[in-house]
Amino acid sequence: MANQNPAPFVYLDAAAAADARGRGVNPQDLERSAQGVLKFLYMCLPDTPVYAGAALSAILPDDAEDRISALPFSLLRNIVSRLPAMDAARTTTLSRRWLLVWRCTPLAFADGRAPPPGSPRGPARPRARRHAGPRGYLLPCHRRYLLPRHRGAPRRAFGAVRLVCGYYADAARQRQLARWVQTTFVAKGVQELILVNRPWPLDVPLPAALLGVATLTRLYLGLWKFPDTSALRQSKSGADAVFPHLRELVLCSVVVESSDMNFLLAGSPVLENFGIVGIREKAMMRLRLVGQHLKCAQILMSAMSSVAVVDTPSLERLILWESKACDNSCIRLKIGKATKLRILGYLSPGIHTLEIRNTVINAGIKATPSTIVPGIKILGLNLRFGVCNDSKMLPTFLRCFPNVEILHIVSKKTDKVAGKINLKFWQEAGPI
Amino acid sequence: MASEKKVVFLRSSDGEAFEVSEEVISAASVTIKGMIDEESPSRADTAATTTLAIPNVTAATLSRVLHYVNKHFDAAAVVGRPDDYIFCAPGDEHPLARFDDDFVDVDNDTLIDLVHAAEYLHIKKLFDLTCKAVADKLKGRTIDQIRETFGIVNDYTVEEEVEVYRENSWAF
Repeated sequence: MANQNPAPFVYLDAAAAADARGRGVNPQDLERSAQGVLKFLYMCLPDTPVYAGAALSAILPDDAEDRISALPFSLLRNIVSRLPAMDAARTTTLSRRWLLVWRCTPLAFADGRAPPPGSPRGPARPRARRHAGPRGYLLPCHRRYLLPRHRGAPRRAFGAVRLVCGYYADAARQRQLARWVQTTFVAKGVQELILVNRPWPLDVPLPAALLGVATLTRLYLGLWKFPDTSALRQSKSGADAVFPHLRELVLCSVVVESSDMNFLLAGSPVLENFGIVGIREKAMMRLRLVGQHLKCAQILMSAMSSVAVVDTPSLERLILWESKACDNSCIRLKIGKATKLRILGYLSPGIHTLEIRNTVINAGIKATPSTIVPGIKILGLNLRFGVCNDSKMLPTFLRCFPNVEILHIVSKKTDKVAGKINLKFWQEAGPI
Repeated sequence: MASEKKVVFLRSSDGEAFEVSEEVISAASVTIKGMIDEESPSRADTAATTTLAIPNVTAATLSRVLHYVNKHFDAAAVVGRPDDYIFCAPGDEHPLARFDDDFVDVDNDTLIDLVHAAEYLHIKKLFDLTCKAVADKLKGRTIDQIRETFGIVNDYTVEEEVEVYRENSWAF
């Protein structure tokens, strides 16, 4: 590049940086924004199974009994399974009991401490390492480590895989990832998978083979383009689940079509927790929440056109946060069958249009049994009290949710005061 | 419910009784909830409070467990969401991360007592927390350090040990 020795990029590959320059965008700005996105994304990921805070305690006196080896077998397995693979494998040399424990413990893999292979500028530098998080531990996502060739290692089952620092944008790495999915994730029955593509680019295609990892119980994806599921939709009959055991699904900054998203939800019959953060899509997302076991749904900072709670008898919490429709229209929030719904937030007049069982809730609507959701105990509202129409929605919401015990109101300042509310309004609204 | 908060007493293995709100402990411990449910028909008509024997847990450990349980219950009430949320609102830190950090910053014996108690009482979050803490004490240490820390005796013969090392040489 003509630039005299520019600061190396961690989050931009050469093509993305050149492209940015071509468009007159300072790649440093992109780098910073990517850094911000990734920082937030890492915050959304679950902790690694190893607890980071504890320090090694004082050394025991000589006659101390070995209480840790005396723990029940299942408990020791639980503990060893939380270790990075190499630490876990090393415990075999402690004593015979630990060898037995190891032999029936599924492995956990995580990158984080080591540099991702093919990071555009070679080995990790402090910035990348910091983002891997203080809890980052062991294992680069390197084939040599992922599929150790040594005796003892290849036979092991994989319990959890966490790859959050890898760069997958070039063709060779995509093939490699697809191969991992086939040979490791599918074949070894991975249960927990956290897979983040390190930008830039942001829309690296996720291998479609991932939809074949039927053993997954927990899946976090970040910064991918979700595969097209239309072929799969045709080949699967309605009763076939994609992820029959999946209980937790979180997508962060994933490019995904509504049809694929809804297919995924419908194909995860035991899903309990569902979250999307910063979902981007050209045609806005129309989300249909279904699932007999779905307990919690969170939709943060995503471009949506509608969210329909269709049939979720177990749903307790529905949180929308900073989600917007791009084109200034409202997000339609339809609440259908959700008898256990207890926590709902943050409803924002002007951003959301609430529909309860096919009735659009407008300011001043009379509460009838069909427009009441009696189960809601905690309600979050985003109101601009300077805006007349916002304030008028407050008593309306409270009529629709008559049993609210805790009310959270976030009131934003607005520069334009639209209409004034006289005292009479509050007097009428008072006795609710 | 309009009636005042019900309490139960838990008696530790060494005979000390601890008072705890029935609501709090039922939400936290599957085991104790089961005990209370079993008891409830017989105590419906009496005003007497229940005392439950917890034979596997000492007073020192039980008081720590109750401290944890109360703290987490209160936090859930204040924050207005159950404790098992997926993730916090943007910018939030887990409100109890600091408390949890300190809670497991204890000596090995205390920690292993807590693992046992959490397993017996079936308190999932505490069980995860304590197992993680034990794992962390094994992580990144040499075998000699681990043996020394936990008093683990090497019962391999020399030949066996060589074989085990060879088998897992990739991890060293």
